[in-house]
Amino acid sequence: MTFRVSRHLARVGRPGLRALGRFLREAPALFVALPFLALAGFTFLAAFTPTANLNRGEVGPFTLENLRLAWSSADFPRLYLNTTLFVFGLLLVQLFTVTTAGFALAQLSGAAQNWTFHAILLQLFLPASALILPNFLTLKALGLTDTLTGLALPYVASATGAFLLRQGFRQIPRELIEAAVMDGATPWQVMARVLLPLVRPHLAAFSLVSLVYHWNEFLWPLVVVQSPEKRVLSLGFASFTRSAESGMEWGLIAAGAILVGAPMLLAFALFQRAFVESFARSGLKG
Amino acid sequence: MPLWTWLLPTGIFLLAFAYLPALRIALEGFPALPKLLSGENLNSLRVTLLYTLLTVPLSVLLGLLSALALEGNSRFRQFLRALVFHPVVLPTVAFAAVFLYLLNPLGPLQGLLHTLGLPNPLGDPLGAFLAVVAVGVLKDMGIYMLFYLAGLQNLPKEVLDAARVDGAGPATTFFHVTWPLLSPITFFVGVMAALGALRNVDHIFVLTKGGPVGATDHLLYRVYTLGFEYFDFPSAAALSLALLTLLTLLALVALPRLERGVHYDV
Repeated sequence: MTFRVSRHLARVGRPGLRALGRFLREAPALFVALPFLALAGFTFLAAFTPTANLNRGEVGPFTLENLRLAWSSADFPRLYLNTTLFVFGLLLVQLFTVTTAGFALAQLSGAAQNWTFHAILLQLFLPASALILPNFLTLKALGLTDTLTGLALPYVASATGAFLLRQGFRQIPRELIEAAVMDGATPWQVMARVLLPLVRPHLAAFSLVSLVYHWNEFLWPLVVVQSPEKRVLSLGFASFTRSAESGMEWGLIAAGAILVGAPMLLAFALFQRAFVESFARSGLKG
Repeated sequence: MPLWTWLLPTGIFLLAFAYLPALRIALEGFPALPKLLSGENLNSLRVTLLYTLLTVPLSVLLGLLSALALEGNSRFRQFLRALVFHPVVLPTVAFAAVFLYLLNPLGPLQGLLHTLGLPNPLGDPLGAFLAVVAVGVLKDMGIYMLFYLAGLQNLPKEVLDAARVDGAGPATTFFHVTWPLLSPITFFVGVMAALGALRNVDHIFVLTKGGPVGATDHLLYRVYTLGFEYFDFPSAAALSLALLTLLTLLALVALPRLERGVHYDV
């Protein structure tokens, strides 16, 4: 009802009424986004306000002091480096495993396809975080605790990725592959020149999901990593928060949250469209 | 090269880091199951069930409502959608730390709650539980909104037009046309939300550490504290088994239908 009235108001002549109509139409959207605006706004303001003023309930005067202090009270360059090595190293290996598995799943038929499909789908319900205990023991047996490699191992195979790629490979017409084979292409050439370029959107979607998920990951690194110089961002930030919290250093915490969130928020701002589309298209996450 | 060799890289790693570990939990957790019957363990089972039962419907419903409110492609809507989505790309520990600031005794949200005559949530068992639920919901609803936005865009226009021609109002159209057509998405999003509720506990580490008096002692959080702080591996294995049982129940409900969903829509 409000929609219809407001649309009507937006169309009629008087400028004041038109503005009111436009406002009424945007009202539900604003209402939904308001808590998130408040969250982002408060973090942003707190990050640039001296902590002493925050503790008096004031905002401003604005300063870069918190960011400078936060940057120097945790080893951020190291944290960024470790996180980058972890997420991109893992992604490289994952791109190989999900492509091979996706291709096999797309080609299999009958009972074999049914079984493998179910077996891999089951992994969605065995998330690595629920298996921290046995996975840690496995890493220990392999001597890989406290390494970035150990951090990545449980995620090397991804059901999400395998399905995404399976969908991608299934959309490729068989004639295309047959034509390439007729022209004398080896299987590797078919893969590299014909198939891979066609599943590039699926690989991109999977990459985004994987990067965001592992960049933000906390519990598994908490279990695997012991030495401070192996820490990833979320881990470093959590220990930094603990010390800042005891001193009620809210400005520092907000600044730290911005430093930790900045790379992904920036990437999201730059590639919003691709990001949103791939998230929506990927269908599965984790 | 035979086809099955292509499955080896994934197969080996799934075996080593998913199926065998799950089996190991089942074997090692089972003898310790009687330990599960202690008050604290039962409490964390109850907390986990309540947390799941609250966050799943709330985040799905709020995801749907925000998708309905933020449909359309104006620049302004895109900006608002980015706002709702931003916690998804933020590490949970950072998002939760913001709440630590908002809820500190001199923080803005705490001030608001105080004027309403409410206690500091983080010091109160019910308040802390609700705070953890709220942070979990706010963190994840953006991604569910996205799935619903995609679903709304793909609704068949003819059906909606037919409803309008038949004189259906917005409410009738929603409940009789839109909602039933979105049901596959609701199912999928609901499964994702339930999985998330059982496995995402990062905000508990920052906000409440399981307290006060065990009010937010989620199973997975307790697995971590028992296993890696007290090194009581048998108890941790028994609790992991409880968690895996919940996940298995979810899988039994979801797998057959998810498969259909994956066949037809993704």
